[in-house]
Amino acid sequence: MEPRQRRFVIIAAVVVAVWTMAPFFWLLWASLMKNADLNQGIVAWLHDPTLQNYARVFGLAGDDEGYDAIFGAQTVAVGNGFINSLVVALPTAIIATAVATLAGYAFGRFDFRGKNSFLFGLLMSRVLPPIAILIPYFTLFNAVGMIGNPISLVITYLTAIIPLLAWVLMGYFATLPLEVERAARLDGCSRLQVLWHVMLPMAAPGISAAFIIAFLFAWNELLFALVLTGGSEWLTLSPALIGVSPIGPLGITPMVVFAAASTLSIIPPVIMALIFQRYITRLNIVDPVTIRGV
Amino acid sequence: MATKQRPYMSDARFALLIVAVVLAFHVIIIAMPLGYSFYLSLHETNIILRRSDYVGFDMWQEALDTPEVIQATLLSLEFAAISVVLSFALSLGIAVVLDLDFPLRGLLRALVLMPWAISEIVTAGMWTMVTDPGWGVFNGILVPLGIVPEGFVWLNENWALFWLSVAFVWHIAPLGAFFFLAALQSIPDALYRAARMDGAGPLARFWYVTVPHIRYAVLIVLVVMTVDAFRQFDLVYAYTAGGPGTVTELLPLQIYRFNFQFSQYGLASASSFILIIIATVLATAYFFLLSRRRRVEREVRQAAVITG
Amino acid sequence: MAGVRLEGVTKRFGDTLAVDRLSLEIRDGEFVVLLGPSGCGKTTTLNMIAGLEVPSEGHIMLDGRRIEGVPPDKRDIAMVFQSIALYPHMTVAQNIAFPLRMARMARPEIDKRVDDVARLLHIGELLGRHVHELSGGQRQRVALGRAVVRRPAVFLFDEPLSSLDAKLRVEMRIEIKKLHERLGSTFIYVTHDQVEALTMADRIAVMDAGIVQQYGSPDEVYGRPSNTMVAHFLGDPGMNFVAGRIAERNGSRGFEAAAFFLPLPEGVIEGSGAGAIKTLGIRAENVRTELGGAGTAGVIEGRVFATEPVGSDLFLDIAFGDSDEAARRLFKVRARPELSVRVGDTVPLGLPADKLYLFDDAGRRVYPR
Repeated sequence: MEPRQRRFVIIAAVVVAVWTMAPFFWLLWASLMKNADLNQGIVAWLHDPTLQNYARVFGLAGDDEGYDAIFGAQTVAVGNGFINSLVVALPTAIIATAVATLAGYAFGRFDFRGKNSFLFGLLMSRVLPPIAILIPYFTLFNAVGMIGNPISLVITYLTAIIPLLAWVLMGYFATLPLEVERAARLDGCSRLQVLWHVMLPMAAPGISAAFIIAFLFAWNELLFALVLTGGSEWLTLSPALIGVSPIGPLGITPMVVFAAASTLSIIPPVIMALIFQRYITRLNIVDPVTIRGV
Repeated sequence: MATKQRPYMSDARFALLIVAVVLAFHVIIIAMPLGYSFYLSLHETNIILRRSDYVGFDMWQEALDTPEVIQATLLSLEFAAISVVLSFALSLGIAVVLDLDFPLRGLLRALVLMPWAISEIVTAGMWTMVTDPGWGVFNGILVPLGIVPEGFVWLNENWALFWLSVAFVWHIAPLGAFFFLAALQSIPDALYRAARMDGAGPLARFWYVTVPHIRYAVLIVLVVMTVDAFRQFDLVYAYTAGGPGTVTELLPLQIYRFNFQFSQYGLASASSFILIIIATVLATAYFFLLSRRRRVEREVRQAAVITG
Repeated sequence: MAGVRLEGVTKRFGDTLAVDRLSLEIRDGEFVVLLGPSGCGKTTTLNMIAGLEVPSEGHIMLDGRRIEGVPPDKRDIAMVFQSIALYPHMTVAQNIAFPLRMARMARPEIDKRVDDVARLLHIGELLGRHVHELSGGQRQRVALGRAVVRRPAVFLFDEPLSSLDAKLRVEMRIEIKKLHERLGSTFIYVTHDQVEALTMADRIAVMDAGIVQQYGSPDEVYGRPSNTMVAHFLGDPGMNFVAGRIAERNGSRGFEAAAFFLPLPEGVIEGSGAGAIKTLGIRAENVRTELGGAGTAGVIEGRVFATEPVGSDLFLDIAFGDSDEAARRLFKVRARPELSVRVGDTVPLGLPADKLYLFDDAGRRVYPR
């Protein structure tokens, strides 16, 4: 490559890096500031970095700035939100991945009458606006007294995420070599044994990717969580974050606390994104045709 | 010959059995609530009197007669248009860069996906740090340089929707980028070499080699981004909350307000069917594109991922 | 161990008829090759024997028992696939042991059998490796091992060598033949490669358009092809055909083609019965190019269109006449490599009567009877 071309490429890469990373940087930056310093402007040297904001998320810090009296409940809610979100996201991801794996296997590996209509149904439920599903759900859950119950949230999440996962896994199963499955049948596997002993291990990257998508969705989602766990002890992380957001409806918590809480909240997603990026690479860049040759 | 031996269960039947189980589950959790939503849209609820009266399609009529609903629908269309254009350009741009050769490319490829993985609330928080008129990054850099006046409000009436789109695009474009990247990487090098031998310059190579190979990727990204723009609630709620005034009050947020703040359940359900209709049209378009997928299985798989 | 019998087996995919009322008897311990061009129904037939496809009509018997209703995992049949189809997430040893694990065999017995098979196929040192670390030939051996380890009644092979390179293919061909001799099981082998069929099979079933065209020993299908399809499909190059009819010229009866008239001895035409003869056939190796000796039924002339030296032999592509039509229907002749001819030369060609074939208007062989 010519030096001029090379310089251009590196500049382009830096632009992409800055665009991607700058917001993360400023969030972290703000989380290390005192609120009074932040109000002077975020673009300033961090002359007095503090971890107090992080401690405050878990109700551990001293009250030297006098906020806890007012905001204690909200910040405690964030701490609980981590646990609640985990309690909701894990079962959601596990159940959704299991159901979607079955559906993806059936759709990806077999032809049957009415397959296209089924697929269209799947797709329709994927593009439905969440708000359209939420209204009837809220009314129903309200009628049976399940508002504030994590099970109702898990159920709604499953409705929203299973179609998508089934779609992803359908694509993945479709790329797996057919003859390996047939070989397993002749080697004495029943249909379910084929799925268990052969197809699942071979689809592991796709299934992991599906699990991550489901977990991220449940971890990040706001609207359902707000309506179905709002004001209850089961408040999940996203609505809890809105609770401490100075830009949210309450709008009075210090930005620095929100920044610290946000920073903590994105640790699991960021780790998963880094793993997921690997799987995306395996889903696409390693050509399935070469796997077929095995 | 007389006795017809019953063959064991065929593959198709086995598949259908699985699908039927999954679908039964699915119908219960999606179709029933939707039906109920339809029922609600035909009734007017009075929470004070705790009664609900059948009013036929009055609520639908009312939704269409309510200027706010029309305005929100138009805003949603505008938001989707801006977002789709921006995210398309951005994801293709990022993909082209990630496909080039430079130091630490592997690291950048890993990092680029991060904005997609985090929540809309944190996205909103980050962009607030950037655009806050008092202490934000933009004003922190641009005010001392004299480019904008002290306390310049980025989220003003004219530009709030735009900045909302920017935040949305920052969050959503990485997946589109990976989709394009996969499409770019699927193009055999030999084709570029052959084109070079045939005397094609960089632009001709892009047009005759690259574009045909990413055509399906382009179509699918467009539809998927549109779908996601129309569904968006979380980011709007967390970033602008519909403001200033109602200039960013998109349809999902407005339906939320109707239902959960103003208790106008019938109107909310009726309005939500506007969204459902838009979604149906998009899904049909999407499905039409995907049914040509035999040639482009790879893109489809990616398309499914991207909708996350 | 067991024989396999197909009775009137038909398979339809939607409107397509893949296999049409096929009946075939495969004896216990026999090595039968299903040979035919792609789309002839041979793989579908194999899949039906395996249980991977269910016949639309007809019966399949294994050792006298009807098995259409038995799922593949209960049939006691092993199969080696075209793509080799090893389990990518398992080691070689795990791949070979898998059928035994599924049969719930005891661990020590499994280990012993895997070791035996590994020794038999010379893959002992590969047992701990992963599939992606193996070469094509090694994979093929492992796939054979996975089939052999179960000691099934019937082995099925679906073009197992087509993904290998030419050298390896020859090697594995011998290996599979030896394996058959050693095991004495029934082998059913699908291929489109006539060399594989001729070298390995006890009997060959030549298939086309979902129908068995001929079923017999390699000598029979090569030497006495029942129709033009079989005659052309076996042999490399396939049999030469010339269209024409029986006619009389200068008092002698013979075969009249557009470009030549070939007198035929009495016995040939008498022997071929009354059927309307339409096609004359002769194999490339039976056409004589060095004339001088007596006793040839006739000599015709043709123009050399192209030459294909292959080292041991020289193949001549002969055109009769100058038309485009003639250039498309080339007549292949095998000559000694020393023969000096150039493109465009006109050469005399001797067609010995005892090497000729005659086919009727339906393509059926009428001579020799």
